[in-house]
Formats: sequence, structure tokens, C-alpha cells
Amino acid sequence: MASIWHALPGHALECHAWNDEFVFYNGLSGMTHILGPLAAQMIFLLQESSLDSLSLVNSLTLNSESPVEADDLQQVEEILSELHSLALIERS
Amino acid sequence: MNLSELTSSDFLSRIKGDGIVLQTGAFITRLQTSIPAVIDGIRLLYSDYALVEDKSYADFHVSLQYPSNARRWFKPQALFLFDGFAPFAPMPLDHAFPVFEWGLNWCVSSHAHRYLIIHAAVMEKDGRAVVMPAPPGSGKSTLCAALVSRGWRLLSDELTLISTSDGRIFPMPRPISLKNQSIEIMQNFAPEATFSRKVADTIKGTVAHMKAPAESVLRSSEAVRCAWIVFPKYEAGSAPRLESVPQSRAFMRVADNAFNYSMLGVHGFRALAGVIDSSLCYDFTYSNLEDAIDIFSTLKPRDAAL
Repeated sequence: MASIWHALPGHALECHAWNDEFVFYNGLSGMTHILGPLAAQMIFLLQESSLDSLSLVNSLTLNSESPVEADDLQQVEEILSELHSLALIERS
Repeated sequence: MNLSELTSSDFLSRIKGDGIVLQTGAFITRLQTSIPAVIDGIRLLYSDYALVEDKSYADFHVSLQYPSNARRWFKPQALFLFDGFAPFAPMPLDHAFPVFEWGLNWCVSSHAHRYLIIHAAVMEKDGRAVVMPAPPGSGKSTLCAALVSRGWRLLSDELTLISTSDGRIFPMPRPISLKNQSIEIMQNFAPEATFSRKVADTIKGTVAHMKAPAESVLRSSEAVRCAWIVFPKYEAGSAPRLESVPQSRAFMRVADNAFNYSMLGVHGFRALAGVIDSSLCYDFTYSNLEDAIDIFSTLKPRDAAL
């Protein structure tokens, strides 16, 4: 069964964006991370609601004409794994 | 009243007695010592600093003493005390003045947590500050000394103090610490400046201090905002090269050079983000100080550069 993910709430996670890079401060771990736009967007979506990887891909491609591809799913799952290892997201 | 206005006997009686209380930028420091090398260094390099006559308060109560053991006579040593506590092991007596300078830096970086404290030189011109974070060996202090000798105001050669409440940088102009070849380079580059005597074989090699310009000391209550963050790197024989650094990357590099970023938590993050927002960020490679000064004179603030 696919994992459902949620991000740390806004009060625990501060973000500042410069151009297409996002610097996140995790108030629970005290760590600071630079993320690209896709990973940042995933965190913002996971702050709004808990999602599994397929729902996340669907949300990310909501305005896209192209259908979800296996590569997209794999990429999102890899980023989810990295975000989890950084303690920026958790399993619901 | 400045220290230079004290008579010699009054100065000696204060510094050897209850201590001399000086306004060292954003901090009040009380120093007590009878070690001649420290007394001479203070008289030479702190003559322009304001004396604080109200002796009831000081941020840092510091003394340099002879350790109470037989080494007072055999290979004598100096011991730095902060509030009566010795944070470091005794050092050779000849190193006493550099030990005072390093100790005072330690006092600030370990206690002044109303500031985000970056290991960086900071200078100002026309109301805008340039912050130069860099590891040892990058030529940070030499470049800082050169810029200061050519009209930039010294805020600090070592500790950049960013207010966590409003993001302004508060000055702490103190003698500029020079090491090894940099001492002679600066003595030739700025022959009009005042230098302490060289002290050899310290933990940092041979060191000497260059006196902070009187105007920088006089303006030590004037905080300023950051306009540029420059990561300097001395590279022998290289042409001067100024290369833009993405702000997000600059953020991480400055945070890596902070003493208390982690301790301040989200307040440190917000303070640094504010500084990065207002700043243009560069890597700067150089080998010639005159070239470097020319490049710095061409820096444009963010609102003019965009």
C-alpha cells in the first residue's frame, strides 16, 4: 500500500525563495536545506493535505496537458524519500 | 573622554587597579592587567576609544594575569580571565596582547546572542556595508585592512554583528589582526597606519595588529545595512575576478560561517534571509590589493545594479 505523506506544518518550517531555489529552515531539527522548485512545491502541497505519491504527481501536473508517466512517479518518489530523510515530511 | 586624554599615571593606575572601561563598539569592556605587553598594546591601539566613566556596568569583565604558579619566573605565561574564569589555557607571556584580542572576540562570539554573529570582516562606504565571510588563509583581514586604509569605514575585521531585531549591522571596530606575510604587506601598503610589534610563534603564526582608523572608532555607534556579501580568495598571480553567487548559495555559505546561527533558530534564519535579500553576492579572487580596491569601488548596490 502506498504511503501517505504530509509535510511539517508551517510554524515548524520556514522558507525563503531566491529565484528558483528555496531555502527551508526546519524548526524541529534546526537544520537548513536548499531545495529546487519541484521539491519545494511538493512540500507546499503536502502542507495543504496528506497525499500519496500518485496523488502528488496528479496535483503537480494538474495544469499540464500531458498524462502522468512512470518517470514522473519515480522522480516524485525519489524526492519524497529525500525529503523524508531530511525530516521535512512524515508518513501520515 | 578618550583613553588618549588620560595622563600616563592615571591610565596606569586604572588599568592596574580596578580596570579601564572602554566602549569597544557595541560593547563595554572592562580590562584589568599589569602585564606590560597588554598595557603597551592598549595604549598604542586603543587611544581613540571612549572611556566609560560609569564603572558600574560592563558587558565583559576581562583581565590578563600571570598564572599563580612558578612559571611566573620560568617561561612566564599570561592567563586570560573572563568574569574570573579562564576559558583558555595559559599562553606564553609574549603572546599576551594577541591573547587579549582573541579573548575579547571569544567574549563576543560566545555571549552576544542578540546578534547573528558571522565570522566575517565588514566595512562600510556611503552608508552601505560589504560583508566578507571567509575561512582563515583567504586574505580576508589583509583585504579588509587595505580597504580600510583607502577610505572604507571599519566595522570589524573578524565579527559581523547582525541585529536579529532589525537586520542592521552593528560596528565593533577594533585593531585588525594580521598574520605572517600580511604584516609586511600592509606595512608597505599603508605606511601611515599604526602597527603593534610582531609577536612570533603564536598559534596563528607571527601576528601583529593594525590600529583601527580614528574615524571608524568615532562612528562606532552607527549601524548600517548590508549591500554586498563578498567571499574573498587570495590566489597568487590571478587577475581580479568578481563572480556572482546565487543568493540561496550565499545564504548557506554565510550560515556556515556563523557562530550562533543554529543557536538562534528561526530568528537566525530570518535575520540572515533579510540580509541576503538586500545584498548582491559575489566570489572575489584577487592577488593585488590595488586591483581589489578598484573592483570594490565599482560595486553597485542591488537597487542600482538591477
